[in-house]
Amino acid sequence: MTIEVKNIVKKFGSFAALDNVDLKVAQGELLALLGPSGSGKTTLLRIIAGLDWPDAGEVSIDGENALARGASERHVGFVFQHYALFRHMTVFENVAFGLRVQPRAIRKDESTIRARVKELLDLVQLDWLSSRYPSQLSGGQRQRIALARALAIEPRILLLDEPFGALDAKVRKELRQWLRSLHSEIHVTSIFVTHDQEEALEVANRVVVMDKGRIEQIGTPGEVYDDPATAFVHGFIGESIVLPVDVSGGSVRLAGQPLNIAANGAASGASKLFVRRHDMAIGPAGSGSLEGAVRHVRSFGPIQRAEVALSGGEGKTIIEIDAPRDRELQAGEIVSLQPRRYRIFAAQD
Amino acid sequence: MSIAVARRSTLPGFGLTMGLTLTWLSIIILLPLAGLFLKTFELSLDQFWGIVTSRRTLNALKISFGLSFAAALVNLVMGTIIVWALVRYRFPGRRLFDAIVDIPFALPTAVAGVALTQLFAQKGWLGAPLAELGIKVAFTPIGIFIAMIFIGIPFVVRTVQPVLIDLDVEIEEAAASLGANRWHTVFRVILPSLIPALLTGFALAFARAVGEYGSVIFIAGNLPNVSEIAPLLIVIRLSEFRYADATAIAVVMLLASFLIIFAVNRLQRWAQIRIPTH
Amino acid sequence: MSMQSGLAPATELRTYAPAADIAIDALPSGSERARPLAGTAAGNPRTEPAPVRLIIIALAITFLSVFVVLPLVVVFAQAFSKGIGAYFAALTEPEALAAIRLTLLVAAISVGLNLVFGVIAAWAIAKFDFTGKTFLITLIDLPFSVSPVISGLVFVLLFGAQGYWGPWLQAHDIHVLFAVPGIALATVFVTFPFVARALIPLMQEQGTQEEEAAISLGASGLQTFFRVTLPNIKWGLLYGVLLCNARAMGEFGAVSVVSGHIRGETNTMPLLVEILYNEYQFVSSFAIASLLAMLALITLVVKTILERRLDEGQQPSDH
Repeated sequence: MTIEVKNIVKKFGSFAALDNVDLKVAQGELLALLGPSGSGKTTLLRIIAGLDWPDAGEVSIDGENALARGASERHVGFVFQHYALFRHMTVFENVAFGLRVQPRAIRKDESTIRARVKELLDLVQLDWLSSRYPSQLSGGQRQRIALARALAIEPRILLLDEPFGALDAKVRKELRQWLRSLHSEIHVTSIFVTHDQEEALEVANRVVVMDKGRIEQIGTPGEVYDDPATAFVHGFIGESIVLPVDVSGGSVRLAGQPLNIAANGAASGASKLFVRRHDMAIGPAGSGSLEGAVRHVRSFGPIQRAEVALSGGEGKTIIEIDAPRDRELQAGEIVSLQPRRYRIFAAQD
Repeated sequence: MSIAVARRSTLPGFGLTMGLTLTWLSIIILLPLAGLFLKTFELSLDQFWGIVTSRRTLNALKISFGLSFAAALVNLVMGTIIVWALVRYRFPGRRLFDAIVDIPFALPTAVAGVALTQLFAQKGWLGAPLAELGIKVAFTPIGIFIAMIFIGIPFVVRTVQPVLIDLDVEIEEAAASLGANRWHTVFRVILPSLIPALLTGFALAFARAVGEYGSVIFIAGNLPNVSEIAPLLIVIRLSEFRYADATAIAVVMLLASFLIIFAVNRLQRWAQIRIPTH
Repeated sequence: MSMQSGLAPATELRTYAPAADIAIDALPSGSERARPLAGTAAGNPRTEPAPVRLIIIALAITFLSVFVVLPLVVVFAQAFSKGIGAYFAALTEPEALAAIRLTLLVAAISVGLNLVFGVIAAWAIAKFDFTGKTFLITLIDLPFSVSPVISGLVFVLLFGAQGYWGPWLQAHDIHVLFAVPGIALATVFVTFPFVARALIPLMQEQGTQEEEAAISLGASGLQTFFRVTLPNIKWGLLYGVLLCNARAMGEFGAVSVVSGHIRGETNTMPLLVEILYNEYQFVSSFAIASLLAMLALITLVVKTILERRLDEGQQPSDH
C-alpha cells in the first residue's frame, strides 16, 4: 500500500505542528519518522491513521482520498506508545477485538477468529499468555500483544507511535531487532515514530528527519548519516563537532585564522562547520588546520576519545574527537587536526 | 461520502451526546431556573425590597443564616478534633466511627428530623436530662442549632481528611528539631496548612445548613419570628399562593449563599498563597 | 445539598481514603509518617502527650455518639417500642404500602433517566475538548447548591395553579403538581448530578487511548462504548447510581413542596414519616423511618466497598 501526503498543515492555536509536509511512502517499506519532541512526527502519524485531522492538505492511500474516511474505516493498524490494551479483556480477547467488531456481513465465524488469534500470538511468541490480563504482563510483552492486535485486522498499513519509548534500554534493543525481522516476514507497509536516532537508523529502510513541523531530510540511514542536508540533521544524527566559522571569498576562517579547508560552495557569511568526531585526522603539530592541546584521553575498545582545547581564540574551545588507537595520545600533547569530511551550513539554520 | 477537511474529533458521538446533554439540561435545569428568574423580575425593586425586609422575612433569614453560621463553627472545631483523632490516633472502634461520620449525609432528612426531635424532646433520652437542667431544646432555636450541627458533621471531616493524611511528617520533625514544642508545631505548622480545607468544609457545612429543611422543621418550633427558618417561610408563602413572596425570599437565600461561598473561595485562595500546602 | 466551592467534582462523595488501617499504610508518598502513633511518651516530637490524646479521642467519640449514633438508635428503638408485631403492622398498612410503592417508582424513574443522561453527558464532557466545559459542569452541579425547598419551588412556579403553565394544565386536566409527575420531576432535578459527577473524573482519568485503539481496529462508536468504555467505568457507574438512588428515595424538601400530601396517593416514604409523626403515631412513623435508615446504612456499606474498588482501579496497572 502506498501512502502519499501533500501539503499537510496542522496548527494548534498559533503553534504550527505541521507546516506544509509532503511525503511519499512506498509499498512494503519500513519508514521511520525521526525528530525531537514537537517536531510533528506523532501528529503526522495520527493524521495518516485518521486519529487526527489536518487543517489543510491531502492524504491518499493507494490513490484514494483517505480523509474521506475516519480511523475505523481506513484499515490501518495503530500501535500506541503506551499500548492502549483493553485492560478488562484478556490477551486473547484483546487480539480478537478487531475481528469481533467487524460488520456482520464480513465477520468471520468464531472458530476462524480463534485460529487467527492463535496464529498471531504464535507469531509474536506469546501464545502462552493468552488468558492473562494486560496488568499481568511486562512492558515488552504488552507491546508485542498490541502489535499482534493491530495485525489481526490485516491492515494495509502499520503505524507505530514510539512503540518502544516506554521500555527500558535492553528490552528496546531486543524489540527493535524483532520488529525488523517481523517486517521482513510480513512485508506490511509500516511507519514508526521515534526520537531515538539509533533506533531509526538501525531499523528503517528510509528515515524522515523532522523538526518544528517540517521535513528536514528524507533518505536511507546511510544517506542521512553521511550526507546530512541541513545543520539540524547533521547535529541531530550522530555526534558532531560544531565550530563557528566565517566564510568569505571562498576561504573559511575560525576566530580570524584561516582554516586549510575548501569552502565547497558555502555561501559567504557567518556559518557553522560540522565535523563528525571520527572524521578529524590527527597529525603532529603544525600539519593541519586546527591545533590544540590534549586535555584528557579515554580509551575504550578500538577507539580513544580525546578532549582537545583548541589553540586559537583564547584556548577556550574544547572539542571531543575519536581517534584509532594506533598511536596513543597523551594528556598535554599538542596535536594538529584536519577535518577529513565536513559540512558547512549557514549560521541561522 | 466526502468530507471537507475540517475539524473532526477522533471519537464519534460528540454531536449526538452533546445535543442530548444540552436538551436534557435545558428541560430539567434551565427551564425551571428560567421560571425562577422570570418570576423574580416580575417584581419591581420596591416590591422586592418590601417583601424581603418585612419583619417576618428578616427574622427568618436571620435565624437561618445566623444559626447555620454558628452550627458550622461548631462543626469546624469538632470536625477538626474528630478528623485529628481518626487520622492520627488508634483506638478501638476507630474504623466504625470513621464510617459513622457519613451517616448525616446519607440519612434521609425527614428521618434525621424526627429522630433528633424524639431524642431532644421533653421526655427524650437527652431532652429529659437537659430539661432537669432547665434547658429546653426541642421546639426552640436551640433545636434548630442542634439539627444544623448534625447535618454538617461530614463536611469538615471529609474535606480535611485527605489533606491531613497527605501531610508530610517531615515538616513536623523539622519543627521539632528547631525547638518547637508540640503545641507550637500543631498550631503554627500543621493547622495553618489545613486552613484551605477547613474553610472549604466550613463553607459546605454552612451552605448545607442554610438550605436544610427536613432535618430542621420537626425540631424547630416553627413560631414566626422566633424559630422559623427561611425555607419554611418559603413553603408557607407557596401554600398561600403568594408565589412572588416565596420567590423573593428564595432569591435572597440564593444570592446570600453564593456570596458567602464566593467570599470563602477568596479566603481560601488568600490562604493558599500565604500558606501553600505544597 | 452542598455547595461547589473549588473542590473537584465528586469530592464530597469520596473525600476520604478508605476507612481502613491498611489503606493508610498503602498510600503512596512516604506514608509511614501517616501511621498513627500509639503510646509514645510526652516529648516525642511526632505526637501529642497521652492525656491530650485521650481528651481528643474522648471528645470525638462523645460527640459522634451523641449526634450520630443516638439518633440512629432512637429510630429503631421507637419503631420497635411496641413490639415486632406492631412494627410489621405499621409497615403493612395500606398507606405505608402505597408510600413504599410510590418511593420505589419515583426512585426507579429518577435513577433510570439520570443514569442514561448522566452517561451521555459524561461521554460528551470527558472524551472531548470544547470551550465552556467548566460552565457546563457547573450547570450540572447546580441542583447540589440549591436548597431542596427551592428545588420544589421552581416547579411550583412552572406548574402550580398560579404558575406559568398552571392555567393551561388545568384547562387540559393534566396534573403535574400534587401528583406523581410532579414528584418525579422534582426528584429527577435533585438527583440530576450524581451519575455524571461520579463518571466525569473517572472517565477523564482513563483518557481516550483505549477508545482510540478500538476505533483504529474498526469498531463503531457504539461498539467502542459498550465493549471498551462501559466495562472500564462500571464501578463508577454503580457508585453514581447508588447515591442517586439513596437521594431519590430519601428526598423530602423538594417533594414536600410539590406533592400536596394526599394520603395514599402522593406521599413518598419520607412524607409519610412526617405525616404520621405530626399525628403522634410514633411507632408507625419510626417504622417507616427505620426502613429509610436501613437503606442509608446499606448504601454506606456498598459505597465503601465501591470506593475501595474504585481506588484499586486508579493503581498504575496498564498505561
